[in-house]
Amino acid sequence: MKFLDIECLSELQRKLNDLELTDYRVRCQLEAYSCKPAGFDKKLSKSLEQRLLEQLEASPRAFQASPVGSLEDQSARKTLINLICTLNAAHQDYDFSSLQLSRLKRVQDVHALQQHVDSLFERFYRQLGIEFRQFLWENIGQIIRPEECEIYSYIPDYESDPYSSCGALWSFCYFFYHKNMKKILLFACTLSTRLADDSESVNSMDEEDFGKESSGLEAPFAMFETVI
Amino acid sequence: MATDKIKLEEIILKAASVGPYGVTDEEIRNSLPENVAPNDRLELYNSLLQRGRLQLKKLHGKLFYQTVEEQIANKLQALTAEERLVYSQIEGAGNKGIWTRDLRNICRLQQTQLTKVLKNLELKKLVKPFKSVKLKNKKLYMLYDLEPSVDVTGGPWYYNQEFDAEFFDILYQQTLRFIRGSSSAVTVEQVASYITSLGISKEKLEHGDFESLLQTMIYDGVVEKLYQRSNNGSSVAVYRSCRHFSPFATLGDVPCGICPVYKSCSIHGVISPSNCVYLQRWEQSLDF
Repeated sequence: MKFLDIECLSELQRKLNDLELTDYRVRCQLEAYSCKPAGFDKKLSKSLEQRLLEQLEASPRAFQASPVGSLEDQSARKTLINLICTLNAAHQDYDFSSLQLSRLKRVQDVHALQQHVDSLFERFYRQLGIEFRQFLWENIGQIIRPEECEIYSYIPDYESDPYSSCGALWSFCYFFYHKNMKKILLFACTLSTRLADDSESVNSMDEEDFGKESSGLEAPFAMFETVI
Repeated sequence: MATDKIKLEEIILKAASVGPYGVTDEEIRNSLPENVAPNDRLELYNSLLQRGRLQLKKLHGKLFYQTVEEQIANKLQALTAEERLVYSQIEGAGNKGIWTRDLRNICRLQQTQLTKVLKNLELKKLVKPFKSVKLKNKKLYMLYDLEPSVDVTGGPWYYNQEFDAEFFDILYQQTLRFIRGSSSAVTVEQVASYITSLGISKEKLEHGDFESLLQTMIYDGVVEKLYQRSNNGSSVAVYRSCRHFSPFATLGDVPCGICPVYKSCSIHGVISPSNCVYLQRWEQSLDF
């Protein structure tokens, strides 16, 4: 997935991320990607396609309730793969290749989506001015034409997810997938408390210690600092 | 002299390869011949350290020396300082692995730099990416030769980072049927050989896996665990099917709980369980 650097989207994203809120921090992503596979994506796409086909063969009924459409269709598989690649491109520290279909939902009603985002962004609109809202939706409309898109929402799993990290108060993650234009617009936002945000990487260390089964060797090993 | 040096180095390397954390200077001194002066010993250390064959570690202020495999030492020598730093962090994480974001923060590298370093290390087969069932979507790295620990792979119960409920269920039902069908209590080995003979699982299931399966059944209340004396005198855990608890086994059903003269009741008193009307009536009401 190639990141498309679109000036107005970057500006909107910047304005939202730079918002001065006393106890909170906004992390917004308004990023457009082209579905033409870049180098390493090709490898991933192939292996994902392979894996999906294998899973289909093994249990054809497993993917009955699929939000992207029946996985027996090549285009449904392609949609899933594109969504996975978009998430990977948007989050360099994560690898969504084992994304389950249950984490995705198809959004049919664009207006409901708009209302949802507007209600969450209300306090931001107050600070950024009333034209911001118009600016936001007009640009999104121009760039991706939502009424012609398949819209999907990613549901965080609250375990190992950039959208459900410690201290996140709310988040949303929408994909506007325009098949003809071969483009995906990722519109995601998380509001987290400033305190939790600062200690995020410390927390992630704790997470890994959580399931520590002492094999007797691990604990002392970690205490050694390698000098040379 | 040169061959002596090589011989002495080999002695040091052999001594320092004992144990997972290396050895102290004293232990190496004990394995070296008496005539090696302290300065010479230091020189040998330095030479080995420079070539990367020996690694120096510190714990609570004490120094430990550990041997590094020749192959790995050669690969490490060829690394840049950044790559070496990243490698040592990944090494420190053992078989739990480390997240790329933590690597970035600790090593203070830019995203692109880190990606390049990791790609290089991967090509040299020094590190490998892997997936953990607990941290499903995070990009994790560990040393190439290490096996991921069980809490990372989830063991046989996880397929593709998700809990394989179907697989677990099939094994559960089959084991339950086996236990219920057998006339006497069964051992873990018997369960293991029966299930393996059914050929349900493609990969080999360990003793511990069967134990955890049986433990789940105990928690579900369908199987109970007993200890029997085996032929050679040691105690062996056996499992047998549980009957459902009869309702009258619960203490709350006994009428004594709501008896108005509970406080005056005793075995030899005027009011006693032996002549208690409530108990008699309750006994009669029970179905056997």
